[in-house]
Amino acid sequence: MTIDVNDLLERMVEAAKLVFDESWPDVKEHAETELKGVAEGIVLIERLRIDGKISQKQSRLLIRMKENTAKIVLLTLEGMGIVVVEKAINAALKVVKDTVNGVLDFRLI
Amino acid sequence: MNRMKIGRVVSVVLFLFSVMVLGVGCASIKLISDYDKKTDEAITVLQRKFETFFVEIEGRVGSDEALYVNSTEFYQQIKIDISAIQLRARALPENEITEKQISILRENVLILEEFHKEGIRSTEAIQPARDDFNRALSNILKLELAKMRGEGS
Repeated sequence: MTIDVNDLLERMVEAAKLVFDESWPDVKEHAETELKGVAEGIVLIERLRIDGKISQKQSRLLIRMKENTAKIVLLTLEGMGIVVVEKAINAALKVVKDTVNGVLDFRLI
Repeated sequence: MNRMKIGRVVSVVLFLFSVMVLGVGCASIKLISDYDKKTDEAITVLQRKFETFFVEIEGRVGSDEALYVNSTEFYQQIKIDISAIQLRARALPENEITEKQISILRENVLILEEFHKEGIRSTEAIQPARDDFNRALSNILKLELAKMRGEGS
């Protein structure tokens, strides 16, 4: 049985979407590109094992490496999501600051 | 009774106002560390070292030169480089995500070492690991650049 790259990618993207929830649109493009690369890599490892170009042990090692790389990708997405949230909070704070200072006619904040 | 009610309303309004002033007075909040130029540069150097290593191994497949014993110096040096990046990442505030990424990267070097010890039978066999290091390093870099928050990016 071989791995279907599209099916694997679809399931990975669905899982990521649930985690990122509202910030998904902000990270979608990067997430889909990177997760596609991870999914294709898993399929390549399977093909190399079947063709005898790597051993069973080596395929297990490469899959572990691939899992770790996926973790690094997801951490990047998490960090990018935090930057987006931080920007939104700071933009809202600036509106409050400008409004308060504007109403009071002097620089309070 | 009415005076008490008015007093309570005034206190609540004053409390809310002071919270707002104190909160906004900070001007902005920070949820993740600032962009770090040294981390950016160190990751770029690391990427070059990995790519050089993979190109060299690719050219050696099939000969004794491709054996693990001939690459121990590379592994030693790369571990030292990663430790230095990790130490810096740990020292920066709100930088746990990058620190975790570097730690995972280190684990991948140990896995690559194990893989290499088993022998490399073909040039294709290197491709998954090569892709992983490129992807991992570019993602660490991507996050570092996102921390610029539009300042100079």
